[in-house]
Amino acid sequence: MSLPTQPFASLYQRGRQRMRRWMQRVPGPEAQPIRLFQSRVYVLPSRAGLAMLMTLAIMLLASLNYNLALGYALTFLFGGVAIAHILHSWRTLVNLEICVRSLDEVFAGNPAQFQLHLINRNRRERPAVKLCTDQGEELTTLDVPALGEASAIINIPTLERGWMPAGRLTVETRQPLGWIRAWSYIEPDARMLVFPRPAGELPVPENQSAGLEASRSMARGHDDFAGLRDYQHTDAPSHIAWKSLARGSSLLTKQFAGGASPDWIMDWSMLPARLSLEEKISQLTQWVLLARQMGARTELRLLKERIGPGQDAMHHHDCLQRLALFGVE
Amino acid sequence: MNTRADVAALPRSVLLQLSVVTVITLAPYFFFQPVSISVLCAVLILWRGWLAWRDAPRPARWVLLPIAMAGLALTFAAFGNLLGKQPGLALLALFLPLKLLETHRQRDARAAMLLACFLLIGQFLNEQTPWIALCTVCGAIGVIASLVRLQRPNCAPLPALRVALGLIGQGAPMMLALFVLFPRIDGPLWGLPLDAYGGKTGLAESMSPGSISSLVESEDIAFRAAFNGSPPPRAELYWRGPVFTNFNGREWAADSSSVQDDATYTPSGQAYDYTLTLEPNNQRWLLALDFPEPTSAGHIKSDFVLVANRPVRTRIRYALRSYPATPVGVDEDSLMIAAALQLPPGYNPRTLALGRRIKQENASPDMRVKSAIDFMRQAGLQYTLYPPLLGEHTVDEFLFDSRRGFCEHFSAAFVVLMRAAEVPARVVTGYQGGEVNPIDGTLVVRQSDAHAWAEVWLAGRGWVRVDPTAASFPSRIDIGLAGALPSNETLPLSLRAEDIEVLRNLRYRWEALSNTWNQWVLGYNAHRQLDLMHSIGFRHAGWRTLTILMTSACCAWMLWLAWRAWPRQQRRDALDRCWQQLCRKLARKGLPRQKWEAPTDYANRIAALRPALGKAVQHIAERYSVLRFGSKTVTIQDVAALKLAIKQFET
Repeated sequence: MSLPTQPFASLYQRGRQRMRRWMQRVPGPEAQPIRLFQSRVYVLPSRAGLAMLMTLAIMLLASLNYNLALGYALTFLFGGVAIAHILHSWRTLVNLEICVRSLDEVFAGNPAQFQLHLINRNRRERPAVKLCTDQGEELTTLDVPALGEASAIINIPTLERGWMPAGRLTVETRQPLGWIRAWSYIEPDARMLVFPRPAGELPVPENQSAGLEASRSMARGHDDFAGLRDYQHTDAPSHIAWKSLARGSSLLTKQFAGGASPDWIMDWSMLPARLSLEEKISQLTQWVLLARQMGARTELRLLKERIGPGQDAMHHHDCLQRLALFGVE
Repeated sequence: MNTRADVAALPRSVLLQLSVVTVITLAPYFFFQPVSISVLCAVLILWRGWLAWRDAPRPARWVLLPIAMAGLALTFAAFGNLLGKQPGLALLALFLPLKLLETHRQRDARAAMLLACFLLIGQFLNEQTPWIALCTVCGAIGVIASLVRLQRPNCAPLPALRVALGLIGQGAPMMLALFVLFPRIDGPLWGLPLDAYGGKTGLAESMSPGSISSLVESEDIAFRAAFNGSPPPRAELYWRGPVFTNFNGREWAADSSSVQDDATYTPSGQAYDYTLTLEPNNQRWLLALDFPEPTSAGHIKSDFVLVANRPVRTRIRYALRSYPATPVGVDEDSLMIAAALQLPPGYNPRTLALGRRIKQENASPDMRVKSAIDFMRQAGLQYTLYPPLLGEHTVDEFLFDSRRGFCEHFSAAFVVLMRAAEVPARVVTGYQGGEVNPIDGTLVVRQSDAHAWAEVWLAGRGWVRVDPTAASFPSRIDIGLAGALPSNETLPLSLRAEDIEVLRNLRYRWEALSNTWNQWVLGYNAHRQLDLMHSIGFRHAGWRTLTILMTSACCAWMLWLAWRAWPRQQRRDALDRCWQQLCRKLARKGLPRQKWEAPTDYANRIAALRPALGKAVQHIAERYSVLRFGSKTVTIQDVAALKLAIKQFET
């Protein structure tokens, strides 16, 4: 809405902001499930309601002027319906319980998916409860049955990597006629880790020494024996500690310092200097995803940190998490 | 803020429902507006319905624009202008189907529903009968149900109707409170269009052959009178309307020059008290029995007509007391008497000759009156609603040639005859008779009771009523119009229904109902409001008192609604209640459950603290956990068993 004169516009804007701040006085992320107590459900006429109000005013004037007894009756009937409407709208939201939980992984730029769960502990249906983002974009609209639940997956757009809270959401309804808007602001404590946007054209960083080292270690025997660890399904039979097995311990794998060297080494410092920080992170993410796809054994080197080597889902997730939070925390 | 529901196209069933609501809204208009506009409306609605049914897209703008122009042209052709009440209503009635034709989103549909609200109230400008009210209630329900479906398109029509009825049920008490307590004002806030009160029927400002017989065709009620005590006999029920003295050969008109503003007479004889409820006739005269006591409703002119200060444009109620036996006009003004002897030269030579002969044969004026009456009685005149058209000498042709006429012919002929015989005479129009509705005891007088009679002035006696129609056809007065007319003439339905008992009874009931309706719903004005407030103990109920009362009534109703609407928590389920009962029992023993404790943890802690109780508590907790968290569906028997176990615990 634009107003013609500047000072009034700014005054209006400031008033609006102050009003909003007062209404959104939620002290940060709230524990779930969030229950909408009556004091935090607001009710005001919608634009359609204001139009109806105008219509009613004109109808009343016409009744006054032409002394239309039935005109009064009709105007007052619609007025009474509007009053009942306020309570219907308000009742649709009060004591509604809301849960928001994060779902799968998401990469920056794609929408983050949250599971929305609405719980109705009343004996009345709560029809058409709408969830909006802070910017007023509709996320979903649900009918919550009496003494029942309704759930949906909501998509919240992401821009940056790092932790993303579900943020401030608006729960609203205009039931049953659309003249009155009842709404409440919530800020659920659900958050989601947004992985960096995968991008980059660089070839995968094959470890040149990997094959060489492997043959060397074989030749040198077990010089670089580093220790034992629990057997994993993918370990080579030649690395199994048969001797300890014979001694009665569980199945163990021998580890060699140079032996299980990674196929790819994804090193931050090896990336060309022309790339920006985010581009570098995107490139590394791209490689992690490729590795996950191809099952490659990788090691991620970020400045001082070394992640891996590894090739299981845990490792890839670890890598993505470090990349997501690199420089953020 | 645009949301999906705003932008999405409306589903077929919603569009069909909107068409149905349009039909309900416009139905009363089809009785009032020109046929051409009604036909165009009907065609547009059918077109919309058909498009919706076929799921076809809405017509393009360039198709609708010429139709809108055509509607405008039709309206102009029908009314001659586009401003004013009737053309405005006709245009609104055309806009609704047009708007519906271009509707395909929620926004358009909402605008259409606002238009429907205007149309619903607009039809009250034409009529406010209970039927129209019923139709409007249906329309309002339709509008609300449509709004429900616009807000929630996946809602089926019947549940939407139920929601609408629920809302209206909750709004109705508020409506009642506001209707009774909203401060009413008298008179309009601003000027009204000239045609605002058009189309009201009633006695005209002049009389010519055929003017009353056309009025008699109407069954509309002219007024109702409620007598305190028994009404006067039928032969006394002459309700005086305009009095006509000036005659130009064809038309009778009032003589404004000789009529004074105030009548002087002393009421005497038997009095009748009654309250008259006059339907609007857009004229100033109030109908009254001869001769009323001065009243605040209006003033009595010197021709004894009760006249209001303003044209009667709304139904009004006034109390009167009349004295039919009062002698009036004994000392009549000579100007008035001269006017009552005027005849246009060159008209009705045969009647004038007859009048002169009567004068020569009878010395005294009352003998002349008698002989004129005798002449008319013996002339073989016929009383009919459908007299033939008359030429230049209307009275001559009626008396000597066609001999067929209605009361205006009889009275006019008699007055001309009297004036020719030099007896001052004039025509009085008004209503004669009426019928008592046995349901509520009111006397109902219709337009079909319209009548014209005569008055002659006799020295020493003043103005005396003479009814030439009654003299020739006494049954006109004793039984009513139907008794006096030939049996082969078609009569208005209200008169014909006399023959059929059931129909007559139905009609009586309906009219008693509509009288109550008129008195208490339509006639509820500032005056009535004051009376009502007075009767419930508010002595001086000004707008301030009314506003306070109105606000408190509304607040009370809102509080009641809010209390009803307060979301009540689901009572804990039966299983939960059992467990809570056990917890309470243990809490009384000084072992309250900590908030974080699961049932088995709690039981184990108790077992450690109180080994005596432990076994039983552990057992119950175990059973509760199995029922609560297990995969088995919980049956009533399971709950009952657990309940029993908890009940037996402790003892």
